[in-house]
Amino acid sequence: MMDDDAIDVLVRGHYEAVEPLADPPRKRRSMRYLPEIGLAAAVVVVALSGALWWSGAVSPREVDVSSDGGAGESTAGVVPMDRVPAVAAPGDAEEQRKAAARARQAERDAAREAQIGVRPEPEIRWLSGDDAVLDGPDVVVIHVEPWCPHCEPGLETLLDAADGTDVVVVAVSALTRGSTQDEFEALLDAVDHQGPAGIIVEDDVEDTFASEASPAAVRLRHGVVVEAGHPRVIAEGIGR
Amino acid sequence: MHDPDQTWRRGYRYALALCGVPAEAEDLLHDGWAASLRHHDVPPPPYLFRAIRSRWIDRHRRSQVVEMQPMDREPASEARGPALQASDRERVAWALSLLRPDEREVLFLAAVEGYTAQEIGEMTERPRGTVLSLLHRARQRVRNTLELDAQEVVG
Repeated sequence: MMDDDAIDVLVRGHYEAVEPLADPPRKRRSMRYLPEIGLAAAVVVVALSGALWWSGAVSPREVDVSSDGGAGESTAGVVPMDRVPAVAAPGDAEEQRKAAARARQAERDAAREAQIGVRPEPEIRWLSGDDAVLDGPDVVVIHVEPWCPHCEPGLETLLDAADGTDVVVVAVSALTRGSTQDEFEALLDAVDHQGPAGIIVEDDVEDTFASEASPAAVRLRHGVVVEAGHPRVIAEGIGR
Repeated sequence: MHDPDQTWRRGYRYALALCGVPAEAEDLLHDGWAASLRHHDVPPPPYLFRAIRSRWIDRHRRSQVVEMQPMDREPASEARGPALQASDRERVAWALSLLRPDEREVLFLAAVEGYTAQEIGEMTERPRGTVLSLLHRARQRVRNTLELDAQEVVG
């Protein structure tokens, strides 16, 4: 009879033998060092401001606190406002952190909102269909990549949702990570996608489809984005 | 800084332990990893496990897929056929596939990741006693399945 340790060894051996198909995605290089770049820029700005301030090149705002309220010509008693040391109130740091978080969230919301109403003009080499397809009354463009394990189920979900409706599903790919047109076509065949499909020629897929990862989808009405997000979210929108 | 490839593999194995289906495990891993990248260049394994687990729960809650399994579930005799001729690894895979997801999860965390029952309880939000019970039941079922198969091979 096997003891618990023997079971554990078998289980460990089983799991250590399985390997994921894809490699881990990395942050884009430009994004990876963003915090360091921001910090360095802040240090430079502060250093420059300090140097200019001490050299007198920047004249601080001044208030007249003399007894005559500034009516006289004397500059005695004039106190530059920004040389008065600020006294930090307790809890200021926490408030600032919260305010910064709110500002970042507002920026993200604004960016998402900004995508709505935009007319994307991707440069597409069509395998079937043409640019006129994008100007249809109700079109969903899904960006997929052959290597992406989520793309096939994402496309399938969209096709299921669009089945029986007037929505036209357009599949596009940028063929990143060295994937080929044959692999893209195999992906389309796997989900039996008969609609328009094409390959994005330009580099800036993220801006075109307002996403940082695949799969991503946008819903267009007469060429204008009315909804952007994950294919599952767009599919739910079609169902409503 | 964790090794991204190693963390990625550990995340995949955990996802596989949760759902039992390689394609779904890849999906869960990809989703969990993408969410983790907002805060980490390479997520610490417990953080990644939590992200994967949340997505797995969300997915099953949304799709209303609830697998009902009787407490005294035993492998059906006709379904044991393939396992009879299979290699040891396939028999272990078969035995694991018969476990409930929560049993498979705690068995993975204990046997492969080496977490204690207390740590697993904190990660999965279960009392330590429940974790120990699940772990005992999981090992017992794996043992029964493997021994049953071994007897059939000998017989």
